[in-house]
Amino acid sequence: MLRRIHGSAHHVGKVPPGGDQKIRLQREIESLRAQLTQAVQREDYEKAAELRDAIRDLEKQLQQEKEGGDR
Amino acid sequence: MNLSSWMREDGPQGDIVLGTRIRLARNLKDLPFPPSASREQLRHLLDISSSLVDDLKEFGVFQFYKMAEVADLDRQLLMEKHLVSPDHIQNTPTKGLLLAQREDISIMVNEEDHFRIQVLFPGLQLDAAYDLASRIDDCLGKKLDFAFDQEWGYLTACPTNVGTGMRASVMVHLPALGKVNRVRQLLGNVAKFGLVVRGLYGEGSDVAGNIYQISNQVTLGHTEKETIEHLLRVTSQVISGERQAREYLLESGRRLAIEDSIYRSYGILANARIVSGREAMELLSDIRLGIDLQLIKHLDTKILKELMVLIRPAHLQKYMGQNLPEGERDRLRASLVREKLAHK
Repeated sequence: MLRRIHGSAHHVGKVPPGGDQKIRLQREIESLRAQLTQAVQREDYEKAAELRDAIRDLEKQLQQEKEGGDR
Repeated sequence: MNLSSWMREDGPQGDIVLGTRIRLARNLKDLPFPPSASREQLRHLLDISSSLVDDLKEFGVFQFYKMAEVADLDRQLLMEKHLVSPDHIQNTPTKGLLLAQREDISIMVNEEDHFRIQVLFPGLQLDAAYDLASRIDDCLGKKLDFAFDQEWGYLTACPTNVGTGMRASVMVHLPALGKVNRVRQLLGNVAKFGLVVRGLYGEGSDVAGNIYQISNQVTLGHTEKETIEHLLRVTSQVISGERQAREYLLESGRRLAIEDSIYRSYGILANARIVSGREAMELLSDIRLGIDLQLIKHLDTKILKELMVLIRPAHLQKYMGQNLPEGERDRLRASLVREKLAHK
């Protein structure tokens, strides 16, 4: 229905202040997770551990952002 | 009676573009949209909104109103000045308004969406008006958590607003195109570009006095900048069409005829004892064209923007300080217009 009204179904405009940070973090985490899956498949466990820690850090940041936004 | 700043002041391309409006629809993440929220929830939002007056300080001196506490006549005044929508003066118990003293910014609370941020500027100023609306949005967004989805953008009560939640409009006066019968054709082209054309008072309102509002329809899939640029491009076409029509009317073979029709309109308004709102708008449109074409030299261009609001029913009644039956209104409207034409 949205596609019929607007000719598109994807928002490309402004994002809320603070919201952009959350979305950026979320997108980064998704991309690292994909890399992690590949690393495990390659049996590159050193890389996988690195990625796992990086994802944990980002998730912590994301959690803080979310709590910060719920004032 | 005080008029909003955009009505008193002139802006870029002010001979054709009377004003620019940007509206942003915003909703809180944790509250159902107004049509499905409970009274308590909406009242709670009114309480939150009253505290926003302080946060908005950097944008002007704001006052918060509960619409239910605004007198009936004053509510209509707000509507006639485009500061609230016609819907916003109905079913008022849960509705609110944050209004800047200059009346260049108004924020409707609990209309169809929780917040409707509106910026009204004189003339063609889409970029400046959007910039201000966006800064107000940022200011509110710091304090409130707006409903936003990565895929759909800002979530709104009606799917026609989802995405940017932005409606950008320009109010244009096209008297010359009206006289050469080209207005329908030109505005038909505007619709082909995905824009909407409406009368002076928005959706469903009649066209009066050759004044039209052109606005975007699409809110998803384009950035705010792209939407504004598109509206600006099309508006520029409309402006140049109107300018060509004005030049055409002044060509030697036609000049006398147009001068005659403008002065006839002037003669009627300067002397009439009874005039309806619609007739007054048509005649004022002629007079304003006469001023723009420098055929009438002793009147100010602002007369149209001022009077188009002052002759509306609620403004007339406020001006006269009493409730007026319709017949009386037409008489007082005529005398108000005569007075204004004589003064300037």
